[in-house]
Amino acid sequence: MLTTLAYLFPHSGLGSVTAYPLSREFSAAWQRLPGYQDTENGSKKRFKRPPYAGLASALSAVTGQPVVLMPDTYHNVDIDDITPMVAITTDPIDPRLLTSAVRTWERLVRKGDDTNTLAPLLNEADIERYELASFVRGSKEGKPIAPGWFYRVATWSFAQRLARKPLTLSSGGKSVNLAWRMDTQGSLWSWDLPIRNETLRPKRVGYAMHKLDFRIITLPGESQFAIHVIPTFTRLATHWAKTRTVLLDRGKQALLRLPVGHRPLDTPDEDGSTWRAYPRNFTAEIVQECGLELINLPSNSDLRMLGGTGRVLLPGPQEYPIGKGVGTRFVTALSDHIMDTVKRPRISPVEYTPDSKKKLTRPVTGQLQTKDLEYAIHATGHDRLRILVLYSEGSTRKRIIAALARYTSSPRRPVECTDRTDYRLHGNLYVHFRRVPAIDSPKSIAWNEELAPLRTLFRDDMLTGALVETVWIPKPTKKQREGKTAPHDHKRELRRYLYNEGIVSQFLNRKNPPDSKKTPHTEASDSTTDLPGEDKEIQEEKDHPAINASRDLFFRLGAIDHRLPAATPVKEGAILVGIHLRQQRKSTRSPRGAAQTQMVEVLTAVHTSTDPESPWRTTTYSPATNDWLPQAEAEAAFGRGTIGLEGHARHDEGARKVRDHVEAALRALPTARPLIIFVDAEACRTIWPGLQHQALGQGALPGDSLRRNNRSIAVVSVNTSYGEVPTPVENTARNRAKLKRPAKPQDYLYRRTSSTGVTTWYIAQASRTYDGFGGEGRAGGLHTRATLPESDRRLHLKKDWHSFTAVQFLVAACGGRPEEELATLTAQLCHQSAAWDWRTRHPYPLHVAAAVDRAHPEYRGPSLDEIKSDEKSAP
Amino acid sequence: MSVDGFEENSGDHRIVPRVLASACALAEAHFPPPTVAKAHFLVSGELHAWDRYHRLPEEDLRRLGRLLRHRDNPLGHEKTVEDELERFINGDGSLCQYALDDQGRLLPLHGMDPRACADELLDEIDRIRAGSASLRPVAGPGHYVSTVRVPQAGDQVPPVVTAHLSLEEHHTADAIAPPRVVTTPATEVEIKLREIEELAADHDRASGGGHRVSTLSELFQGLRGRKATSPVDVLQVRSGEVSVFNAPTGSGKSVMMRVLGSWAVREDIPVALIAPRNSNVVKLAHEIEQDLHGQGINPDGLVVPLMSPNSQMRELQRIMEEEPDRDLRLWAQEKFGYGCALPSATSTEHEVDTWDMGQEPCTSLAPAESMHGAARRRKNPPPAQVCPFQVTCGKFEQQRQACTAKVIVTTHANFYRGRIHIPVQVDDQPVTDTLAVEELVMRRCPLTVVDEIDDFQSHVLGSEGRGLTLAWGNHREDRPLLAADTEHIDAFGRLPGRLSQGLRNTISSTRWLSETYITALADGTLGPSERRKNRRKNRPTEKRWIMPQRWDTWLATQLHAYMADDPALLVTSEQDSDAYSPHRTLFRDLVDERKALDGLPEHLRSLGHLLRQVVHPRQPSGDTHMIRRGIDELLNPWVTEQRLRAEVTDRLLRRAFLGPLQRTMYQFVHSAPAFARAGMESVRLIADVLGPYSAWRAIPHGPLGRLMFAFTEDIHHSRTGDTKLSVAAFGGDPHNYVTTLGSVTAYARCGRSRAVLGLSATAYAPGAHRHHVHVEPTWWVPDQSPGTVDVENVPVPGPDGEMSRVSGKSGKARIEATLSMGERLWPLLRNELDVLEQSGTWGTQDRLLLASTSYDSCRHLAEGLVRGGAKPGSLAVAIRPAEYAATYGDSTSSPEWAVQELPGDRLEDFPNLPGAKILIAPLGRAERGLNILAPNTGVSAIGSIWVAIRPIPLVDDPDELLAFLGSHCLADARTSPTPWLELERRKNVAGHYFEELVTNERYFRSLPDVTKRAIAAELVISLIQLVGRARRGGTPGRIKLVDHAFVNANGRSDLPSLIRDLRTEWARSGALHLMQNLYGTTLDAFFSFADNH
Repeated sequence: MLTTLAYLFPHSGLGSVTAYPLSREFSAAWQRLPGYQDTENGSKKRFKRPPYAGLASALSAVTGQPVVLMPDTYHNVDIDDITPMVAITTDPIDPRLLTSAVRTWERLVRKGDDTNTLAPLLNEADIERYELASFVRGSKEGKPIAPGWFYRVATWSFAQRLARKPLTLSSGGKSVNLAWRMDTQGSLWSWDLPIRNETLRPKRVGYAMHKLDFRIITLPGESQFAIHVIPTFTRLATHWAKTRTVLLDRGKQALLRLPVGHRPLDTPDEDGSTWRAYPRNFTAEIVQECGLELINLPSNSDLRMLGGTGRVLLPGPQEYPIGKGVGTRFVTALSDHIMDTVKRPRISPVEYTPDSKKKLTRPVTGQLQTKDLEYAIHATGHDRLRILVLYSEGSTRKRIIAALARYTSSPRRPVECTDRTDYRLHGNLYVHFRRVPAIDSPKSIAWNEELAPLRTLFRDDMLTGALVETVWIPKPTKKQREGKTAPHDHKRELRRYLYNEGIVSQFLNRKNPPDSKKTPHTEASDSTTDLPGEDKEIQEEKDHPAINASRDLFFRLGAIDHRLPAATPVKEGAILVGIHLRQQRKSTRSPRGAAQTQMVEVLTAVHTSTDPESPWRTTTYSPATNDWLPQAEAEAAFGRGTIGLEGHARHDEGARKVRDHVEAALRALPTARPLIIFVDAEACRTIWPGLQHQALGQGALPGDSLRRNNRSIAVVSVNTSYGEVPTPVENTARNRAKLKRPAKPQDYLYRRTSSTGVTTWYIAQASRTYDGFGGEGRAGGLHTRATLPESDRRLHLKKDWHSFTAVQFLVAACGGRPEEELATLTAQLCHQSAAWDWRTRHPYPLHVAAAVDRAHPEYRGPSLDEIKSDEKSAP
Repeated sequence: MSVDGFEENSGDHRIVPRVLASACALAEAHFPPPTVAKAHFLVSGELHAWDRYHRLPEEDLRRLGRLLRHRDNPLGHEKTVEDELERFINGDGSLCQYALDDQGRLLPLHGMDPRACADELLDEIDRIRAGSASLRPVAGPGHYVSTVRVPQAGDQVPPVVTAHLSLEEHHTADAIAPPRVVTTPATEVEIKLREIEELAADHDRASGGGHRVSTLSELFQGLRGRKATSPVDVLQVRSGEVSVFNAPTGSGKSVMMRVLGSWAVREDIPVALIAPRNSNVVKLAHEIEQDLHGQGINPDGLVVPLMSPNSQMRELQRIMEEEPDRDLRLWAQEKFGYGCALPSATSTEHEVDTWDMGQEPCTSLAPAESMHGAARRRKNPPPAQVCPFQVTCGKFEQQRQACTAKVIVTTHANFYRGRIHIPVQVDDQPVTDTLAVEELVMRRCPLTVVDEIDDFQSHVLGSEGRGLTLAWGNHREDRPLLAADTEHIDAFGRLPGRLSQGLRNTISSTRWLSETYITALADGTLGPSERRKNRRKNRPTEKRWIMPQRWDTWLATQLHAYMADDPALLVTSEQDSDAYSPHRTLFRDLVDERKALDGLPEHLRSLGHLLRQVVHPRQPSGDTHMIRRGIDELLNPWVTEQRLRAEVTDRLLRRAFLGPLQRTMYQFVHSAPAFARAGMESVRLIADVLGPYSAWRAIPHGPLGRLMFAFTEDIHHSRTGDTKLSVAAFGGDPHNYVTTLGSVTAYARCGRSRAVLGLSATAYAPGAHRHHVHVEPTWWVPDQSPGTVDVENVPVPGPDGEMSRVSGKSGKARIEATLSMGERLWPLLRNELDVLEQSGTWGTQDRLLLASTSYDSCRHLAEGLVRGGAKPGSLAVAIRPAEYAATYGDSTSSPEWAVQELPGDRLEDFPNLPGAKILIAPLGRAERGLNILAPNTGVSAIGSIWVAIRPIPLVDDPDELLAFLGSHCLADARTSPTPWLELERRKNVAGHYFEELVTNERYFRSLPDVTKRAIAAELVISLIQLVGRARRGGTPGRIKLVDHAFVNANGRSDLPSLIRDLRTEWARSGALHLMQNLYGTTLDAFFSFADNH
């Protein structure tokens, strides 16, 4: 059995809230406020509304309790009997505070005009108290649903209750009590026990706190909501730059959590900083006006010392003296603590049990075997395969030669071949080396001219994949930046050029030569004709990056061996389809481009076969031809075009377009075979309502238009969302007392059947880091961050501590197959991955689709058009 | 409106008064007291609107038939009857039997029993006709001129050369008595199904095959009747109203037709079998002869495949080229082959290898002497003369045999429009050479079987609603008037003086009027006014119907003050049309350029003068603009609002142009026979379009009550060179013609009622304007095999990410969309082919039919498919049959990389094309009467049918418009004891509906609901027929609709919601139950399609 951090919570235990009803007069007054247009999404203009988030923060600040203003009513729920509301909070707000806050806010919104229309109306209103449970609908059918604001406030009472008792952590003879402080958003912080660590090179100091977030989640077919506790280890900034959130301690009250902005200063302040942070949305002004106190944000030197009353959250991923993650031991302790603390009403933890005693299997691991090469090449849909190696430095060539040597007849000896010819490694596998010194160019290169001589290679009938050396320095030195000698990252342009030629590519980062040699670059680059020494044996130590690069290239080419068919028998030659959807900003450069989104849609189909001799072929849909192309061609076709489809979106008309598009794509698959469709739950559920827990078995699903003439079309929804899938705590099948660390989940397919009989499937795992790499990530199993013995602090505190993760499957349509068969198939497609030795988060077809998306030159970057226009201006 | 040239056409001037007098007498007999309206009703032919009609004594029915027989088409128009009665009674007094009072009442003066009076009058007419009957003279020795067409590859208009013939003394044939047509007595026809099955069993035994009995017994087992539920063992085909036998495609109707042939011989009942096309005729006749052979009966002279002698040779050529059956080829050669004796006597101006087969000048030999001397001064042109060999010529053998054969097999077209070219004697009447095939069949055959009767109705509609381009910017193609002009010049001196003069007048005045008109349109002198600004927004092209008279009331109202010459009546804004405007008659006189100016009130003369000047060819060039300005100035004080004045001026000018133009159209109609005889190809084309209206019909005018002309103008604001004016004509009443063929038409043709049996798979679909036969089926075979039909929508994404749609686009955008649709469709088709290959047995149902709307779009789709990756060799594209002739021969050895071509009339050959997997053909060609069978089986070769482009009939097409009107008026039609009032009601309904149709915006979604439903019903019918292609042999049929326009729900014009509307409508009218009985399986498939989208 597997326990999790999610707890089914009786509705009666949700507690009650205080609501300020929305009277007609207030509504009228509200609408007369000068609004501002905060966003404009394409042509669809949102209605104007005043910036009331600041008022909510301020009210939270002055009352010390969470406040939700103008809660939207959820459109699916029929709540005619409930009056609309202005505000929702836990306890009634002191009328004097309320008046003062609202009036100040109104004055600020009106740019100094003290009209005071709202506050009197608000004070006149009759405050009402509601049981939160009264807002829940559909509970009996196992599809509970509530208004949108409900999900924000329903966790408050739970958090409050949890905060009453400190969490006792003990390990290695050390024991600490973590006391919890609630913030104005309802999260809990271990404010009084920040963790400090410092590194010597570079010399830095870092602080972090434990935080607990709470989230109301639904479980498929479950009548009760569940509260999912999400523990995080939040690191604190030691400088204001780029930060976005500040927490302010104001005595006994809740921590004030405020968004911050930054203003340039005319003259540098005492810290020498030319920027000053300020609380956004008028919050500070309102709080001050309410006569409580001045809000002073800590200075940069405060932050360095963790002094002052405020702490600032680290704005983004960066090098830091403290790692991320709370560790599995903390999670276990937290789980115990929750069960100990929250006794009434009775909560029940969400648990999963193994489906059967049969473990998930991974019969084949490691690199593609030489004996399977022919099979794998056959799977690409081509007869012959060429690996085109573009390199600049001889050492990279050597590394690749070494990595590919295993496919020759003498795997222990390096390949001997000249550049510029197709060298046959084995059977139908060829390699072709080219030295391209331009890879080192610090400037952007017109690759179509530079690589023009290669074009004949791209025109023959061999399938070509490129393995390209790259020089990547995330942070060029100041000297390099100023001298403009920083290596240019050619990956995007080069990849795009190769896509235009129909070639997929994989990059291999140049390894810095060992310090001892100190060979100047120039000498190394002269060695194009310099063959590797015949007498030299390949180094004992494996060059993992090079091996993995070649593995990835095979994966991209669709050259996969029989490991998937061997591990996952699929009946009736079904086609496995992965639907990958992602919303991306249209452009970060054009005006308003950032607000406009478009949908990236990649559909991958794996044509399974019942014949062990014929490989599974992977194809991807290409909208340009309305056809499913072999993997390599399809990736190139996808990468050539601009990313995303305009007008496609997650809701309304945009969602309809996505549905039409996907249906059209599915129609282009062979019509006589059964389909098994995998979708990512988070990305797809607004598009196909049938994937939503509240509309299970009712709404639209992908493949609906094909579901005719008894064609079997199964839909499996895969949820990998960290917040939504209950976090695994430990495997209780093992005796806890005997273990050093919380027991890992096993390679079972776990399941849970809800009170209304809906089964959810679950696979959970420790990460590869947790298990491997000398146990670097495993420290969190033995210790918690707070109780780490002094001897281990230096070593472990700066590491990321991994917890267990899980993926949840839901069979939305079984297409006539047993649910269990589909769940096992899905789990197996994650467990036995096609190209590496660990699990993938998504089943293979979905994993491929996402990989195709990620390889697009515009993936999370500026659009191709912009690059083109840049290129034009370039010489 | 009175019709010019009326007297000229009706032959003897004594006939019309007598026809009218007998109409009055019969009106007196049936509806005392007689009035003009009642008399008109009797001559209108719409007798079925009368509730007592079918119960009248046989005597009366015959009398009414005789009346119609002598009544010429123009008399079907009420106004004409009124005018003529007025003229004959109060004018020249040639009608003395009745007096007319001013209320339209007729007062009998004859003092006899009205029936006896009518009989006497009709007898008199018979005598007059007998006395004036004349045959075309047979050419004696001498010199003759004729034009011959030279065969030409492709669809170019064949060049015409003048042939000079010299006939010698010995160029005569033996004198042979003309064949005699005997009218058979009226009998009820009973077809005992057991006998049919027995006959079929005999044939099976004789031929060694076994499928006929099994097919028929299966067919008869499923048979249901309107009266008896089941089983039906006798088909009692009553004479009178048409009996419809409805059975799904592939259920064995054609086998039944075939067995009916030998049944007729055995029962000694002459039978006519009417099939859609010549190829069907040949096949059916041959099969019947084979059956008779098998029975030991010599079929010579018993079965006759009757087609137009002029197309006989072409058909023979087709058979020789493509029919795989050697027996059939030999048989056809024997039946249709002939040699023409004339070429030996001919010399031509240019070297000519051969005459266009079938176009020999058999009846158009013009004496060469007419150029000289006395003949030229003769008032009447010398009649064309007949080839002396005609009486024995093989070309007319089938027509001779048709007079005595037991089984006449002919086509829809020949039945409806064909003539017997040789002189024949009908009963005891004088010999005639103008006998219509329809009359021959009616007289001889107690039973007429019409295959695909709904298609027959549609065919009739097609020949009754026609259009013609009058002028078209700077284009030279498709300008029959221009060609006629040129040819007329070529024929200078060859034509008889009077005819030549008439032709020149008509052609040149039509040309002048229409070309001046479009010039004015193009330069903006005429044009939609700026007054309604919204109408011109975003509309680069404007196409609209113009009916000049429609504006009369409006104009008279707006010009109220001017007409009254009273400034006190002046108003400043547009007035609602006043139907009772006192100035309407005056206004008509004002704009009628034939009315003398002096006849107009003084104050109107200046405007009258301007309006007459504008259509006067002798005005200084370019003056239309000046005249417009003149009118504008003239009206300035009377119509003060500037925009309104512009509109008034514009409409006045158009009215001035189009009125005379309309009159020249009537000239074409009535002179069509004479023009056709002139031997000028393009004049013949014009006559073909406008001519049919002069052929006698029992019901000459439909609900509109008269022959109508309407003009369409196309204005392209960006391309003035494309400005176009065309005219459309609407006449006849095809819907009623089909249902009353055995009664009204039969009585008029032969004095008896006849049994007419119509066969079809889709004859009943209330609302379908073209194919719904307005009578409930008498027998039907329910289509009950659930799950065998599947309708699915499979849109393909276009390059812009939206689902591609072609329907609704035009020009270059449409071509682009079609190409890209083809390209993106290929993966789906490829998958489908794979599936079919895996699932089907080899050879059957392993191919696809991709249906489109036109030949051009077929080519574009093929091109797109090839772009998408299809092997060109696997595609077979239908091309226009005429285009095929040019490439014929190359395609037999077509290489892999070329798309194979197949002429549109030979799609049945598709399975025999090596490697061809996808047939791309226009819907209209592929939907009907087409058996695309897997080689050597009776099973369809087509596995699924993909409809690429949504077909939307253009409401602009005259035949569509006619069909809409006809069916709409009949939808709520009922019989009545006062049928003239019912006619009046239909006329009103038709008038309103017509107005609604021609004035609406030209988009599908803006059409009236009933029209949209009609179009959807037609589409359903068309798809039911189409899916029949795949279901032949009992295989399942799958329809895939590709065009996104099918389901695009904008404006509620998508197919699903239209089908739902149709279902509601059928349920409301009570037709749904029968519909589900008839088309259960297919209809359910459509309903579930509609419900699921």
